[in-house]
Amino acid sequence: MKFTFAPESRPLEGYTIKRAIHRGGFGEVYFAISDAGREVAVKLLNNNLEVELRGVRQCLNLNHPNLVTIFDIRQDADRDYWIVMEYVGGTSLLDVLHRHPSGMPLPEILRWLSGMAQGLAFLHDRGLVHRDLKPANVLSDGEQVKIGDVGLSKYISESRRSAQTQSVGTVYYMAPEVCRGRYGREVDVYALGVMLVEMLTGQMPFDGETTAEILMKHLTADPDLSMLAPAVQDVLRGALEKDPDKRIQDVLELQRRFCAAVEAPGSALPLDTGRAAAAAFAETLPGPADSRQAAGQPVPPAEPGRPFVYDFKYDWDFNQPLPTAAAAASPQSFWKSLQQFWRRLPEPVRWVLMGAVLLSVVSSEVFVGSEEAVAGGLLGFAAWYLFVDQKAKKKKRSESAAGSAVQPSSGTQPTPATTVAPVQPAQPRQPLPGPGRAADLPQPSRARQVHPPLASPQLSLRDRLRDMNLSAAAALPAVLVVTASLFFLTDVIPEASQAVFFGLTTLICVWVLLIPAKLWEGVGGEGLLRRSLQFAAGILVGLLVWCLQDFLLLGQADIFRTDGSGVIAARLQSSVPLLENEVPTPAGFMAFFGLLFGVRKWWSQADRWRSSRLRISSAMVSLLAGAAVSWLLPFPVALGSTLALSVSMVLQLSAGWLPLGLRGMGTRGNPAGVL
Amino acid sequence: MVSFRYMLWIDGVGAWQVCCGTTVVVGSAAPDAVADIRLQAPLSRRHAVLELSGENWLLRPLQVSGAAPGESRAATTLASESLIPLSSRVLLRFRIPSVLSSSAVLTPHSPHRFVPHADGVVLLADRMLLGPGSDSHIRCRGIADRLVLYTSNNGLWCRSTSEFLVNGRATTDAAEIEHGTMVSAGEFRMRAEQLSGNDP
Repeated sequence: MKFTFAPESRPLEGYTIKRAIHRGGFGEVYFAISDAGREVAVKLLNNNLEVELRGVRQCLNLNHPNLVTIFDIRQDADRDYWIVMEYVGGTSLLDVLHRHPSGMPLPEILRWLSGMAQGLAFLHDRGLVHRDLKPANVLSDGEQVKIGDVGLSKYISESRRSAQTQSVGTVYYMAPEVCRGRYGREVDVYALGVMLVEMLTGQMPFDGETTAEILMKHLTADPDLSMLAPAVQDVLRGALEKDPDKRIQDVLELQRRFCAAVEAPGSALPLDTGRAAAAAFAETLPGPADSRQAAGQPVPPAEPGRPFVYDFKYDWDFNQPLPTAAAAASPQSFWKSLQQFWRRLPEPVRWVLMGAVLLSVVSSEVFVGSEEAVAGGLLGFAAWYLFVDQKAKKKKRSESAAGSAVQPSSGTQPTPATTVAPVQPAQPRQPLPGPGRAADLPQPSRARQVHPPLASPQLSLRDRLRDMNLSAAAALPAVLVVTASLFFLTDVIPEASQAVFFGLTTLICVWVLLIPAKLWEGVGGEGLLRRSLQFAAGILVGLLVWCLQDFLLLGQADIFRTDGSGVIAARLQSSVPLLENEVPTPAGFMAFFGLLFGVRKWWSQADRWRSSRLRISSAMVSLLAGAAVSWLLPFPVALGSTLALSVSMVLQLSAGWLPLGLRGMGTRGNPAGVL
Repeated sequence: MVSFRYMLWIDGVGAWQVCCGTTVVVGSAAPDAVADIRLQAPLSRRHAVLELSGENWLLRPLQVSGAAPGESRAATTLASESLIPLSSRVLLRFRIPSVLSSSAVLTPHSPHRFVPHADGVVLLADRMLLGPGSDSHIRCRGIADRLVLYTSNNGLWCRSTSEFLVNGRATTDAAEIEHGTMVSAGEFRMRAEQLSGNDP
């Protein structure tokens, strides 16, 4: 398809288009000459979104020799928006990488690194994050490295999951925390680290056949840097750290440490010229966080620059108020700290703790049995060892086997500019089709929120019904597994008839919760109203469950006995008795299920865009909610909490879920995501 | 001097200057510039001459560059993929992409730019190719069949093995390229502008 505007067109007053440069997801970019003879790039925006324009406007007056300058934003006669910017006529880093499939010469790497670091530091100092740093966006106009951005589309979704920027970027350079919607300056440090590895070795540190595979590697795999000198490895590991808080925090710090590493005697760099260049660069570097600027000393004047496009984003959300001290001290931040503390615990410890708590609660009374806690801890450790650790080791083994299979024999390959032995010729960098290219993941307004799709959810009723049916069917085996586990491993449901009752109750709850969850999926709605509807549904379920236990003649079974008094029961005992002979009455059942359904956002546990298929933390919270409701009413705590846990787990396991890597690939044909 | 110069503006590819003639002067882009190929660089107005001799291009310096000791004004035969040091810091890359043609391509090797802005200059000896292959003088990925540009009757012409459009009209025959001519085929689109002697 030809470009919209032919040469010599003048859609924008004062500028004559000479030729088209590029077509991206956002629109088209042209080379134009102003009436006065200035060469510019003009970008026609496809989507006249106010937020996009607002982001560009914030960059209008930025001026730095290592950044492409935006001159103006104009509107043509058709009221389309154009961005007028500097034209960069040089080569891109991507072209240079193509020319050096085994790695670039070190002096060249240092030159590009210096320009990128200076440009990014300028942005970061002003609260901006580039967020889509990649070789195609870095240009060299003569000797001047410039960061730009053509071929990028970012826009703000106006959907239910609003305030979440959806953008198209490149998955190869995407920091792991982007999956969680975090876009700090560390994202740029990470991308710079990936590019450094690529420049040094010609290889991507995280590569794969599919977008999902690459994303997964970003999230879980350690980059193979063994071909690099140890000092360089340390620096790059610091830049590619999964946890943004542990990552090198400053691009200038990364540059300084990299230069020091390549200059170190142990780096075994083949080029003395490279070391000299590294030393020269290191001398010119500013101190931490640009100490010259911090000290108020003059920064070298910006050289007059010229061409290209960039599209920076602020590292705060335009739709959110700026954080205040009061907000920082809120319970939410306490919860966040708790979450961070939990995440920092070693994984085996987390599993041990989870197992201990689960079995303690489930098997007897709340948090009392030390034997159960120990047994649960052991079970948790066993689960971690068998299902997590072994899987990770197996994956690592297969990866290392694959890596060694392509390792070249010594001395047969051309030696690159560093100690890198080229593993294999670099694959031609082809733009990934559609969703693959863009790994822009949503920004949940809260860390625990579900992750929305790349494309706005457009689910038809047919999709919803299909998803609902598939999820309901999947609930059957999930119920069997969970009930059998509880039956054989705990004494909550000691008899087979009670296990049948437990399984059927769980199934009824899950089915009833699935119906509204799937109808509400991708649609905005008031949380309180939804809880109220769930509460009403819970009352009906309670009545049904009481009928079920009556039908199964379980009325006086031990599992229903409770010696608690209950706050609510004490109030209602005279008018609506919830307990009779230490066994819940029909009203007690209805109250329990009504409250249990009303206190939790069950729909979020069935959302196909939830962050993971099974969140143990959600199940734990459900368990605690069940225990709390049981204590309030009262209702048998062991049964109530276990039921809540079981419902949560079955709901999550059965409801369709779309893995992060597949989001944005459309839901047609698989509306249920991965079942 | 060249008989004529054209600027080709090609969508998605770049801007290329075409110099048709057997003698091409290289010089600075000063306001009173007289060179056929002008560079924004500290050069003389007439700095060097590129001459087509048989099937070879010769470089004859008009000024001593100082790039190498013992430099003379004697003509040097240029081999493909060689670098032309116009001065100690101004370097042009010279290459002949196709063995079927003596037409050559000049691109800046040092951080200097042509005036008017161009990604490169084609020294058109007889014919030049526009196409996706590496033997093309101007590589255009959006074109399926190669387009051949050649000189005839003191003018610039083009032809192709398949149908293409000239100013919107389909043709399979050769078509003359004049100032403002638009040539397109599939996604390929090019506009030619003739440069006068006074044009920068």
